[in-house]
Parts: sequence; C-alpha cells; structure tokens
Amino acid sequence: MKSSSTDSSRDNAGRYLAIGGLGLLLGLALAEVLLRSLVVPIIDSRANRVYQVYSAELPDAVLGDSHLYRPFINSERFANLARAGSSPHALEIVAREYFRRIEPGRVIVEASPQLFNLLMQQRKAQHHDEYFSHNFGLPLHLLVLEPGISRELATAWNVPAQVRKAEVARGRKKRKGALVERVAADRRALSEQQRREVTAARIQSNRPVRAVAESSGFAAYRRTLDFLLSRGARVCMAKTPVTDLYRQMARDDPNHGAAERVLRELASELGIPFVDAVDLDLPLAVDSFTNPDHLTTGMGELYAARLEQACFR
Amino acid sequence: MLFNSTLFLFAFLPIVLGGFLALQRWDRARFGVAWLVAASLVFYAWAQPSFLLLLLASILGNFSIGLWIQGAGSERGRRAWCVLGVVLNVALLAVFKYAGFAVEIVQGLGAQDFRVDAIALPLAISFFTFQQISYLSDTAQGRVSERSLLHYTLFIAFFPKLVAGPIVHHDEMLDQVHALPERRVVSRDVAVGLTLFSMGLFKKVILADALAARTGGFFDLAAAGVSLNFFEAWTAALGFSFQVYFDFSGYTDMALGLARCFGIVLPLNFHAPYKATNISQFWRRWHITLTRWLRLNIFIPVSRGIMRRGGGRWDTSAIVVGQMLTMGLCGLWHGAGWNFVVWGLLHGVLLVGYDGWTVAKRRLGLAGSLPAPVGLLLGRATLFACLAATFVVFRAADLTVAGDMLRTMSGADGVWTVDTASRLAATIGFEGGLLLVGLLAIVWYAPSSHEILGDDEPALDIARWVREPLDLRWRWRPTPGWALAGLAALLPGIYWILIEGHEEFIYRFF
Repeated sequence: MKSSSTDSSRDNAGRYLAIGGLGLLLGLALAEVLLRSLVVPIIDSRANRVYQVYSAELPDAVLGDSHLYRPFINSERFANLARAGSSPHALEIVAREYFRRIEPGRVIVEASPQLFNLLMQQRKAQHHDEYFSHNFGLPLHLLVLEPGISRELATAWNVPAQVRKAEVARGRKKRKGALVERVAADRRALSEQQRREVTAARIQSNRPVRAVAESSGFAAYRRTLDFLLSRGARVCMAKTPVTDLYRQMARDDPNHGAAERVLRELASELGIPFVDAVDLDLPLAVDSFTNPDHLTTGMGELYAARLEQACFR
Repeated sequence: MLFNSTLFLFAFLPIVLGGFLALQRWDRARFGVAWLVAASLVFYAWAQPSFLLLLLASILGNFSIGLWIQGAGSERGRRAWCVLGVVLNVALLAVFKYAGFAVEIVQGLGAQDFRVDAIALPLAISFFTFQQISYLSDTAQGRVSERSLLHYTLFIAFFPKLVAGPIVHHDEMLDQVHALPERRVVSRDVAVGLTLFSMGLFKKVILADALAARTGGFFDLAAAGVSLNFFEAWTAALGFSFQVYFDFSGYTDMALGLARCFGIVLPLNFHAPYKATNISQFWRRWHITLTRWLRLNIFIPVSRGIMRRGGGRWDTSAIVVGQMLTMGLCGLWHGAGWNFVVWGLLHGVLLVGYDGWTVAKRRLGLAGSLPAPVGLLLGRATLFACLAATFVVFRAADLTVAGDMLRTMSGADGVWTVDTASRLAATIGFEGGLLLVGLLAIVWYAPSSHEILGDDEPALDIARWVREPLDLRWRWRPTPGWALAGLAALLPGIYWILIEGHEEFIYRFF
C-alpha cells in the first residue's frame, strides 16, 4: 500500500493528525467556555437547572413547579430543583439524576393538584429523558456533551446577544421582588367580580385530569417518592398556598378534590408527612399573592421557613 | 449506536481505535482481530441487544455450514449443504423482514382474519444475510475455505460496514482480516480514514439532515391529504433525491473511512451516481456492492435459465425478465412494502427502456449525434428527473400519495396557480431554491471524496473507478492546509450534532 511507503509521509500524516486533533479539541474547548460563561449562568433556564443537577452538592432539595420554586428562590439550605411548568415526569428524572451521586437528606416534594393538570400530562418528560446520558462517568462534566445544555450553543455563538440575555436575567432576578410586590398591590384594586373571574380561570387551567391515580403523571410522581424513600431521604409532601377564594371555588371542582384525596392517601400509605399550607398559620392577605395560587417573594420566604419547620420538626 | 452520535464520536471510536493502535504498539497485534470482533458485537448490541443472539446464531450457523460444505466428499454433498444454508438464510430474512408484508398481501386477498404478531426488524439483517449467502455459494464452488470462526465473525460483523454495507465479498476482506496481525496501521492510514470519515459526517449532518428538515415536511403534508402544487411536489422530489444521495454517500464515506483507520480497505459502494448519464451507469455507481450481488445472484442465473430454455441464445425476453425480476427484488430488499416493489419495478422499466433506446439509437444512426457537452448535460438532466420521480414512490407514505404527487409533478393539475408564488415563498424561499441549484452543481461537477483521496487508496481497486486523476491542488495530502480544510468539514458537523442531536441513516432500515 502506498500509504505506508515512506517515513516522511508518516511524519506528515502525524503532523496532520496532530493539527486536526488539536483543532477539534480547541473547537470543543471554545464551545465549553461559551456554555459555562454565557449559557448556564442564565437563571430560570432549563440549561441552568440541568447544570444544577451536574453540580449537585446540597443533600436537601425542593422538587416541584413554580409554586415551590418562588418561595425557595433564595434558599441556601435547599437545592431548588423546582421550576415553572415542570411535569411530574420531568421531576422524576431530575430527582433520580440529582441524587445519583449524593445521598439525599431532607426533600420537600410539592403535592398540589395542579401538578396533574392536562398540560403537565401532555408535556411528559419535557426532553429530560434525553439528558444526563453520558456525562456522569467522566471525572469532569463536559457541558458540550450534555444535550440539555449544548442545545443552547446555537444561540451562544451570538456572544453579545447572549451577554445581554444573561444581564437581563440577572436584572430580572433583582427586579423580580419589586415587580412581584407591585403586581400583588395591583390585586387589591380588583373588584370582587374580577377576582372571581381571575380565580375561576386559574382553577380551570390548573384543573387536574380525571382519574389522577391512573395517570402517567401520578405514576411518575409515585416512582419519585419511592425512589427518594429507597435512598433514605426524609421526604415531606407540601400542598402550596392558594387564596381563600381559590380554595372555596376549587372545592366545587370534583377533579381538584379527587387529586388532593389521592395525594393525601399516597402520603399516608408511604408514611410521609403531608403539610397543607392552610395549617401553617401564615398571615395571608389579598396582597400576599401575585395571582390566586402564587405567593409574593416576601410571603414565599416566610412560607418556605414555616414549611421547613413543619416538615422536619 | 450511530456513526453520527456523540456516544460513538466521543466514546466508542476513541476507545476502540485507541485500543487497537495500542495493541499494535505493544506488539500484541494478534489480539487486534479479537478486539475488533468484541467492539463490533458491542456496537451491534448497543442498538438492539435482543438481536445480538440472532446475529451470533446466523454467523455460527453459516460458518458451520461452510465447514460442512468444505468437508463434504462429493459435489452433490457440497451442493446439498449450500442449498440448505441458502434456504435457511432466506427463511430468516422472510420471517424477520417480510412476514408482515406477506400477511398484508394475504389480507388483501380477502383473508382479513389472518394475523401474525408484529415482528421487529433486526438491524442490518439484509446486509449480513446477503453477505453470507454469497459466502456459502462460493464455498460450495471451492473459491473459499475459511476455518477460523474469529476471522469469519469479523468478516461478517465488522462494525464500520455491518449496519448499511458495503456488502463485502469474502475475497475483498477475508485476506485482509488474516493479514491484520502483520499489517502495521500507520498514521497515514488513520489520517486518510479520519479525513474520509469527516467528509462523510459533513455530507450526512450538514447536507442530508438539513435537506430532510426542509423538504421532508412536503411528504408529511401530502400524506396528511394536503394537495401540493407543481413546484412544491418537485421541490419535495428533488429535495429527497439530494437527501438520500448525501445520506448514503455520507454513510459510505464514514464506513470506508472507519475501516481504513483499522487498516482494512473496503470496496467502493458509491461513486458520484448523479454524474451518470443513463440509468445503467447509475446502477453501476449507486450501491455498487448491492448491484453486484443482484447481478451475480439473480440477474445472471435467471437470464441464463431463460436463455437455456430458449436454445442457448441471448434474446430480449431473457434480458427483460431478468431486469424486471432483479429490480423488483432490489426494491423489495429496500423495504417490505408495495412502494419499494413499485420503485424497483420502475427502475426495471427504465433499464429495459434504456437498453431498447440504445439499440434503436444505434440502428437509426443517432449515436454521437449531439455535441459531447450537450449530450452529457441532457443525459444527466433526464436521468436526474427520472430518479427524482421514482424517489417519490420510494419516499411517499403509500402508493396513492405517490400517485397524487406524480400527477401534480406532471403538470396535470396545473403549473402556476394564483397562490403558487406566495406558497413557494413561504415554504421554500429564495434560499431553498438556491440551495437546490447549488447541490445540483455539487453532485454533477464537484470531485467525489474518493477522487480527492484517490492517491491513498480510499477504496479497493480505486484505480478502476478513478481513471483520470484530479488536478494536483484538489488531491488530498497530509498538509496543514488540508488539516484545516478537514476541520472545517468536521467541526460544523459536530456542533450540529451537539445542538440538534443525531438523525438516523436512511439505509439503516434496509
């Protein structure tokens, strides 16, 4: 064969491979730097939560959707694995991956009926089943190999836009408190009729599916609890706060009632404490909420502190 | 595991290649074959662990029958073992690949209650079965006598060509497998192999997958009952013609490149087929090893059989029946469905028609009547239009959808309607149109990867295919400039995979 004929051709081929290999490594390193410096710092993003799983350190964690994400947003004791719109299927994957390498300690799992609404059922794993596939065995987690993060490369090449996005996100976090309080103050100005309409709309969008216990979301939820208990976690199920009006109106909806019953039965079956926000004696008023089922930042922090106390006393 | 997955690129390939080169460096090259066999079985099992046993059973069964053929004392005994082996292989293929289609036919004939549970298609079953049928046939004729199961397993299951070919003949690979412990793989082999692999990755990821995203939607719309207009139907047809071209060309480059990294040179399987000026040339350039297999094992025996019955003279019926049967089976090989059968038969009609046209042209004295460049362009354009039309049958959801699309493409539903311009702008746009024209220029005029790497034997017997070497500046050499060019092909492909994930190869399902 011609290819192995001379030493000089071998030397050239060696140099060729060295340049190619080095170029490839540099290309990947550049992508890794972009992801680390521009993509994962964007708070609230999916990439940020995936990164949080990779850099798991805290044994205590919170799992749920925005109802728990907001109260624990500034928590330093709990890894906040809750995110707005997270389905039970996605939460199961996040829980399994987060506690793959570290021993779980205290884990608060949201137990509110809206986790099982139709949208959550349809969202299923929200692509989380494609993540965390081949990075845990490596001594250093490479973000370029993580689809949940590397997908953002498409935008990360636009460095100025990405920097702006990160700045906006940081600013948003700072401003969020003030903004949330303002929205809450605005709620005071609503008439009784308007308040009923807004609440009815929220109840409708949060409406759990019929026969929750047979849904795939509930099966995923149960598997999450079983997994956490099998790993020795101290688990607590939390029903998050809603306005009095929301609670009264939701009582008339059979799906809400049925979902809550199923969750309480599950807690009792597994021997997990179930903490309903109603029992926490929170000084709730109309302006403690930004909408009928989301607390303001200030009230959220108080709720988080009391919930922790009630769960793990 | 696919060649374009991150798992393959960043884990499997570095480990397998690194391990193989390390064995050579530490004078343990004799373990190289075992290492590659183990890697190939892991590669196969990764995709379908449940079918690994089937692959191993097929290999062991055929190897054993091969030994019995070699040990048979008489010609009759050899033939009997060979027939048994071929029947078993065909039965395996029939059960796993065609049972569902057979049930569909029986139900279509009126037996609606006739049902068989769906059977999953084992990966690469057509490829490893065809290869072993050839092996048994040649063993019976005394052309091969393999006695090492390890070498035989690598010949069948070698991971670069296991999933989608080439369909390698034993005399193209077994000798190389035997020589592997003594063959010193050098950096030039790896450089040539990885360069070819990078070219293939670029074709698959940047061209084929991008085309699939742009034009695949038209076929989905047609399948959903939406009427396409003349230009949309043609865009779908042309888009898929380019997609399948770059998908298969990319796969073949990657397969040959990977094999070369381990010191094994595979036969050429794809040689710029759209540069052909007629359908006969096309099939000598497209899936070359399948065409060869079909010619040797179907066309020649069938045509000879008919010829013998007709008194030993070649006649038209022998060729027509041979072509149609061969191409019908070629279609069926591509997939168990009427679409594929009709696609194959259409190619049979084109081949028969071309033969007839050649004879007529000679008799009428029309041969060479056009200036060469005009003839070349006319030939390529006519062939490409025919191929694009037949690929509609190949790709469409069913024959009804294909028929509707072909009618629209013929202009029977009108060429220009009031909303044509706005629909074109919304669906294809100026960029899309430009892309199709650019791709046509590439497939007609750009040098192929094998021509570019022609000095370094990227495929077996390359001199037979690349008769006119390229200008020196287009020929690959291991220089820093070519290294940068290789990176320019590799990095976008890798970034694309990281961002979008990987797509299947079209030929993986055959």
